[in-house]
Amino acid sequence: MAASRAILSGCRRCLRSWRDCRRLSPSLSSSGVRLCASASGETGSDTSKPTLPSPPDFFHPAVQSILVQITGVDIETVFHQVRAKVDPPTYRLMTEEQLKKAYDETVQRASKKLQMPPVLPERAPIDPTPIAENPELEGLETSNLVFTDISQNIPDRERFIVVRELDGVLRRATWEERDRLLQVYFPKEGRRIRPPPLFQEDHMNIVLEADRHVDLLDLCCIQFEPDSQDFIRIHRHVYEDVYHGKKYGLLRSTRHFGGLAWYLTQNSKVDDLLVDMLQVDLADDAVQLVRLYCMLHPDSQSATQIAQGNLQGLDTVKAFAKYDAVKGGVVELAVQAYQAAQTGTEQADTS
Amino acid sequence: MLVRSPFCIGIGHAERKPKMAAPMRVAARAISLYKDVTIVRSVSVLPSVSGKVLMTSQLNQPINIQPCRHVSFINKLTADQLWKGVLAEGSGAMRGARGKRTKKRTKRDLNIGQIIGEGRDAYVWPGLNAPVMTAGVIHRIQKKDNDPEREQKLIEERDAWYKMKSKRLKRQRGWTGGTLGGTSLGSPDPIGNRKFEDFEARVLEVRNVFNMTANMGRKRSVRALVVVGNRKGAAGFAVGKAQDARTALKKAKNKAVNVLYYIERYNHHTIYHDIDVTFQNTRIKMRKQNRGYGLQCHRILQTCGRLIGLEDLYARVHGSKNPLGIVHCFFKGLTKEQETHQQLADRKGLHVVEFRQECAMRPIVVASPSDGRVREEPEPEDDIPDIKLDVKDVKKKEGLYKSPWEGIYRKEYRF
Repeated sequence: MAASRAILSGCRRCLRSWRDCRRLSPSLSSSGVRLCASASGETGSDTSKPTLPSPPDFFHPAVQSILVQITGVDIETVFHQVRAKVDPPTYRLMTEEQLKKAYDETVQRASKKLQMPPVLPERAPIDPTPIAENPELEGLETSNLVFTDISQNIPDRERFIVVRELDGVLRRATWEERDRLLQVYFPKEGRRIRPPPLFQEDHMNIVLEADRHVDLLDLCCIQFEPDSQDFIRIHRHVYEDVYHGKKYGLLRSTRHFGGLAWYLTQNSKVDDLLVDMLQVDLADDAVQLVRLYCMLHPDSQSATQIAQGNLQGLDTVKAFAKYDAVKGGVVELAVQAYQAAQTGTEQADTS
Repeated sequence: MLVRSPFCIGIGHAERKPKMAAPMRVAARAISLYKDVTIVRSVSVLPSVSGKVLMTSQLNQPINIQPCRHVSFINKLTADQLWKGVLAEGSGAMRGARGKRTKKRTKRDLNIGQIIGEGRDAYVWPGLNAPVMTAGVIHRIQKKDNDPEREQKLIEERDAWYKMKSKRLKRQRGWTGGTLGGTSLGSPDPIGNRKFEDFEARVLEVRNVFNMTANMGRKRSVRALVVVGNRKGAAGFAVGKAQDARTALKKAKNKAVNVLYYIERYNHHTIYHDIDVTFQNTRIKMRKQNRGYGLQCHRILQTCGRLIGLEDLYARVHGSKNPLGIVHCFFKGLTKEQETHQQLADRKGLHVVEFRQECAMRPIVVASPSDGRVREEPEPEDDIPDIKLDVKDVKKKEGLYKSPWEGIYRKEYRF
């Protein structure tokens, strides 16, 4: 638990620093780490299409609220039993009121624990142009020398790290070198200096076959920075496995469900997820998911139809099935089955 | 065999002597004790048949005459009487000098494998080892074919019998090697049609007790304490008394199954709550434990706990460590002083909520009032809880005390 908390705080910290570096990119480049202009490139693409409203990013409050809602808070899943050396259980006698209070408190704690790892674009590679070239130093050393500023008050992203090559060239360290050296000087709990072989493709598949998707993603969050190439690669791999195996239940009520929904919506693969939601009686979640789809694809046919017809509830899902779904028939059938079941239960209740 | 057919002592027999196996040698030595006497006495001539052979074939050689006596104590006394003369039997003889050798002699039955009528010469005796008549023809006494390996077979048979008898049954090991405590007695005997195959009995104590009677004086009997259980909550214990241990154990085992208790277990592995129980001078402190903790308690409580079906428990016995007292106290605590969560909820009219560290202290309702009516006012909670604290418990919680047995894996006695 301590480790996961550390990761969360770490994610939050690097998210903040990532936002800062977007905002303060000129000052950053002057302080030593120069990024290739990925942030400026994004803004440039936005300006090229001024007519359409740009789709919101992952941290947009509306998106976040949808993702939190469809994640759900199942306390038994969030606080599942872990293996630990613990004291015997304690007992209390409670009235209904006290029980409700304790339950609400736990739900709050759970939702805090369900904070999602950020979804970020991949970090741009660091400018490899040499800072200085000193051919007179060539052959002096047998290995590269790395110089790191280890002052305490600097954020890790802005830390000045340079490498003196064997041929006397002084250059900025790459992201991989930075991650390794920062782990050496400022170790984070649970993270290794070199990533474990678990994250190789074929090893990951063994873990995924055992349905341990959550464990793999948790480890990935510990090991990698959220905008690193490996982080994105591993998350994509796991999401694809969930999508192909239709194992959505594994990630529900975990902090990775938001990322999954975001990924599937962006890549227009939400059909199976919608069907799954309707099958487990989560129609509200399905409606929310369609809303998210419309937000991310404002120029899609279903988005315009829903906006024009001012559709509500399951009608939005039907509209999505009609215009944009790849497996429209399946989604349509699932909606019908859900509605039939609902009417059936209502009749049973009234009779 | 020698005792049964003493007339065979002669030259032929003397030649066979080295072939004899151990039991034969014992008897032969018994005879040799009286050898001087036989020489002094008058000697009868060898049987005529063998004498003739000697005369004809070895005339010019000096004749070696072996003294032989046909009537002596050896064919007048019974085997028991003969053995009694050699061995020290009975309490009086034990005190005397006889039989005080380094190697202890034991009485042996030399008749094993012999059939009346069957002998070395192999005769048919109608009415003894054969029918008197078959198909209207009366049989006569006649010689059969000799079995040359007959003697050898007899010896082998006798040896095998004694070998089997001397082999000790391998007794299962209980708590220690020396005492019976902790050993299994199998399942109790069925009562009518009711069988107790799923029950198992284990010995807790076997002890000699004495009673002074007018006639016999100090009379010894054996008392056994046995616990039975089916590892699913049903268990009982009883004391059996008899003249010997085996009967006492059997009595106790069959009595215990008539006094069964049902013991409630939480999730089939531990007790519902901590219990402190007193019975006479024995006090037992029982503590609920998590799965995987094991039975960390007195060996008697371990045995009882396993038969009840408890898997995780800490218990400490204070005061008198009398086995019967311990068992009584344990059963009293588990049956009379234990309260299930459901009973507690019904008594208080409130939800019983469990908080487990491994589940991040989320509330788990384990019991609600069975009538569904939960009372409004909460259970009063004082600032200073009214709990009787145990010094060891407090120290354990503060990390100042650790049991030396903590974390030691103990194998269950299963054989």
